[in-house]
Amino acid sequence: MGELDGRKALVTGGSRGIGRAIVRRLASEGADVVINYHSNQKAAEEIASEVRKLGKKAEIIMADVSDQSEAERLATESITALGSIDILVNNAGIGATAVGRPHVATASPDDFYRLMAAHAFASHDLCRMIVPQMRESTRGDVVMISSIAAQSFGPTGGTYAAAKAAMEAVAYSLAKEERGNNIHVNIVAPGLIETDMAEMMVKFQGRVKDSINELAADSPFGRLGYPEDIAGSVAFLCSERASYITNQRITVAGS
Amino acid sequence: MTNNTEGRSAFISGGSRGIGKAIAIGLAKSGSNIAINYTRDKEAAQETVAEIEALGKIAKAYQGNVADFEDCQRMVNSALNDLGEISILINNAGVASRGSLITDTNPEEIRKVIGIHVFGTHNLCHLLVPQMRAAERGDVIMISSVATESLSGRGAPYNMAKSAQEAIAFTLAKEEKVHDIRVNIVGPGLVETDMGKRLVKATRGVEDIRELDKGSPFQRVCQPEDIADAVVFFCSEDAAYVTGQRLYVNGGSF
Repeated sequence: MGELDGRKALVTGGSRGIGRAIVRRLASEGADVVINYHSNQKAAEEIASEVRKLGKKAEIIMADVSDQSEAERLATESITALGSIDILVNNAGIGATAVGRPHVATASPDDFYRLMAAHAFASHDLCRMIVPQMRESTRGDVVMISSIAAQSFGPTGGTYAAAKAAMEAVAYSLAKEERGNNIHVNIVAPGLIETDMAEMMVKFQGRVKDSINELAADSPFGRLGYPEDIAGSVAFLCSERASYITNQRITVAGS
Repeated sequence: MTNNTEGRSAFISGGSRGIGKAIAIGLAKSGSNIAINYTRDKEAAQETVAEIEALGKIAKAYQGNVADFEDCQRMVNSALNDLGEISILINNAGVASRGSLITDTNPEEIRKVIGIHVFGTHNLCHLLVPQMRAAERGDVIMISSVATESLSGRGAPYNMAKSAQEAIAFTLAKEEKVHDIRVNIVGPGLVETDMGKRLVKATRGVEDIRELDKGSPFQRVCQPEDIADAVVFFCSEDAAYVTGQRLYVNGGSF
């Protein structure tokens, strides 16, 4: 008996890092899960087989959510795979490092577009495709995985922060529009979390030599954030325990 | 589900009724022993204690005014004596203000409301946080209010008190992080409590708060248990990396 028995979730970018921990946690609470991935099929298959061992359904679907037609296909195939989707976790993303962490004034329009597409347009496309059928469910949940970048607005993170801020704007607006349909929309904003993406970033910034773990001792509570820390907040927000919570943001950064 | 506080002890101010009672019971269900403070309603406190004992947990009630430092010293000493280390502090005790314009507000009222929300919170943090540093983990939760966002007219004493209480929380979070203490805020909107019922009667002439279900978020008025669930989450392993945060539990701030 889990808190999310009978629920059906789509987690974008679910094969690795934070998304993978969210998939694992939602499934362990009883949800069936569609795991979207972009490039790493092996990682997606691994977590899918973990979910199936828990006795839950798992489907993996390859799609680049930053491409509108692929996001639309992902939504349609996800609904077909599980019959319906009542939990949507917009987690897929690319880091500012992927575009070289430019200053706002030097960022190329193409690079900026890539970030906006991956975070803001993808979230909108998936909400547009998934939310209407969610209205038929007893309860629906949309969770955006944002970032503290949309609060700190640090230098060389401006284009990434803009994309996350736009994504959060989708969440806050959607929360108001869909409350009457018993759909909850919330945001989880991670700080530095031990993932491949974060390691790339701190290496790029020259903050570590070999491993992100060099930062652990000076981090809040003497450790980095773990993907499981994010999954804990996502699971809470989707549960009965949070049935009066919508339009909120929880920052999981140890600060 | 890892919303577990097994083996811990919690002190909840204003824990005999309403939101505080629900928090006391929620934390007891998740595994904690409980100390509650109450000011006047001894019978309600005894009933809450009995309900927690029925769950197989230790429960103690201490009478006192949190605005009074000596009362706090006496209550905290007794609680530490009765329960040992206290690693969870819930600053929940509060009173509403009278609904006057600022120009009509008696300075005495401001001092009284701030005394309970702000000095009371500081008194209990001052007395309980130092021993909490030795615990494996500590949690301080402020029960604030959406008033800190709306800052509506005719609510100055309450708005001032809750804003200052939140300032203590955000500061304490930074100061005590190195001691493995988390400090977070839960901000309720309208909740079905004695205070909530009085509020809607006074401001909107509503006799039965449940008449408001239909126009409320998710077609129901918020229940004390909704607040308790958020508090237990913050104290749990699921929120181990969460501090300095404020979560409004009000069905959305709109």
